[in-house]
Amino acid sequence: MSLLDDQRALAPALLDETAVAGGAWASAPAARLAVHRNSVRGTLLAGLETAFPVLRRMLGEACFTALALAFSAERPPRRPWLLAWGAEWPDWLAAHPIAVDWPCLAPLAALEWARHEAWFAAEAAALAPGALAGLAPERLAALRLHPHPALRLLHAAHPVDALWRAHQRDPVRFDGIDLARAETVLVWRRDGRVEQRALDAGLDALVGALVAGTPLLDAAAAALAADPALDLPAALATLLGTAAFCPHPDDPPRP
Amino acid sequence: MPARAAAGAIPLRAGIGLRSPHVAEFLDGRPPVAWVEVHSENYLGDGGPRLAALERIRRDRPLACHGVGLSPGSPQGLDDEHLRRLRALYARLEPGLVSEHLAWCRLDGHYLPDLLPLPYTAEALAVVVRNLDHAQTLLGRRLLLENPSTYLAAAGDYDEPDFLAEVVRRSGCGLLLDVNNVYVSACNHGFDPLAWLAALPAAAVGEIHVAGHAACGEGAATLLIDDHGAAVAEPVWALLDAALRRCGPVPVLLERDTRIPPLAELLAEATRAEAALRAATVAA
Repeated sequence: MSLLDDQRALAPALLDETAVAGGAWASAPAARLAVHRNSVRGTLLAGLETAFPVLRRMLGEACFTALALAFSAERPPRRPWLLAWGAEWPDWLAAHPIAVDWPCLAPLAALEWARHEAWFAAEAAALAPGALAGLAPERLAALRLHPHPALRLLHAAHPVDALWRAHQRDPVRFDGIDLARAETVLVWRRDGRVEQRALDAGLDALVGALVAGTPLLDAAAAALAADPALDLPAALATLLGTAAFCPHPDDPPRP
Repeated sequence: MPARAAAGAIPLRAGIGLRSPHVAEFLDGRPPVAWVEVHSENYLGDGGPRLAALERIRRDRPLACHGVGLSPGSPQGLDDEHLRRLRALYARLEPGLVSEHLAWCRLDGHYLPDLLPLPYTAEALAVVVRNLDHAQTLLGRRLLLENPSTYLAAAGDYDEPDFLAEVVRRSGCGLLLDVNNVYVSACNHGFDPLAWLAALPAAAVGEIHVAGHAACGEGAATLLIDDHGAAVAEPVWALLDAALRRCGPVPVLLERDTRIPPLAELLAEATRAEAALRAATVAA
């Protein structure tokens, strides 16, 4: 057998404890093979535990581990830097039978993955809160912003921000959370910390338009159309305070 | 830029593997650690606080980068996107030494996060040399290759030290001698670790690792596991002395990856490694 054949004969037994090794390793004692299997599965499990801590708390260790190992065996990483692995888990969970009874699970996983990506996103100088002061009105109206590399915007069919926050408390408290309520959540990174907030209809429209590259005046109009009662100056101040946006590379805010 | 290169060179001192529970202490207190080593793959994100902290720590002391994902034993070749990311990381961090493992982890486009064993055959030798040539060319630097802890044995054409010697001769790479791995493999396969050391091409060794291991099972069935989860065992300290006598003084790194204790415990072990290194330096 070639080296490649030997490796193909070993790999299945490392992800699945019911598989047996063949090739050069066919006579390997089970206890010795298990050292490698435990290492592979333990490392993959630890990677998912790091990226999805709220999911683990929600499911409990046994259920989380079973789902994580099943996912690991079906979709092992394609790159050797594990911090990039797990992006497919939310969709995998959405297609899993557990989603029938736990429809919040996959959207919550998507929020955790957005936070994980934000943590490892590239550096970029965010727009300072005072950057728009002193701009001529026509410049302000035409100004476009650029999403910071750590910005993530999630449209979830369930209240994932509220659920995530409920799991930061000990014990977990779900009081008053309407599980059928849809939520848009903005995730960003500021001063080395990942932050998030649920957006109401006006902010949702404003952020969505700005992320799409819409000039500020048109984005503001879209926000007011979505929520005529929106306090626009307060909404803009909130956004500029998040460090979620950068100066647009083609359109920096110069007076 | 010679001055810059000298500032990043790994000194003939004992270093400690930098792990996340100790990062804050390194940032706040500047503990007396001559140099640190990190796992390269943990820093292959685009940015963020983890990399920023390492860059700050790197300003105070030399850094070595220890790759765990190259997979030089893959007959299907290496992942060039991975190599490009490593090259960019090393350009940013300017590590004094870069090492990888004699193992494989990449197969059919997937990655199994472990250091999987190779049969020491002529075919495996050709694969490892070809991959190391490619990696050293793309990274633009010489790599040190670490001897693995092994649990499985397969028939081959070479003993492990002879295989390593041929890899060194044909690829021009250096060696990272992990004396804990030598001890673990020697116990698991029943060979003499001193004879293993005597057969190693000692001049190629550019760094030594020491670490703790676990014992599983009892009596003849005892299996040693390289879990980096305990203090360095006495027979491994003795093997460090023997290795330093054989190789001459080279930088020594203390690794701890599981059950990570307070930094003070690692500092005490690093002090012991440094004493061994001083004794070897005097003898040399």
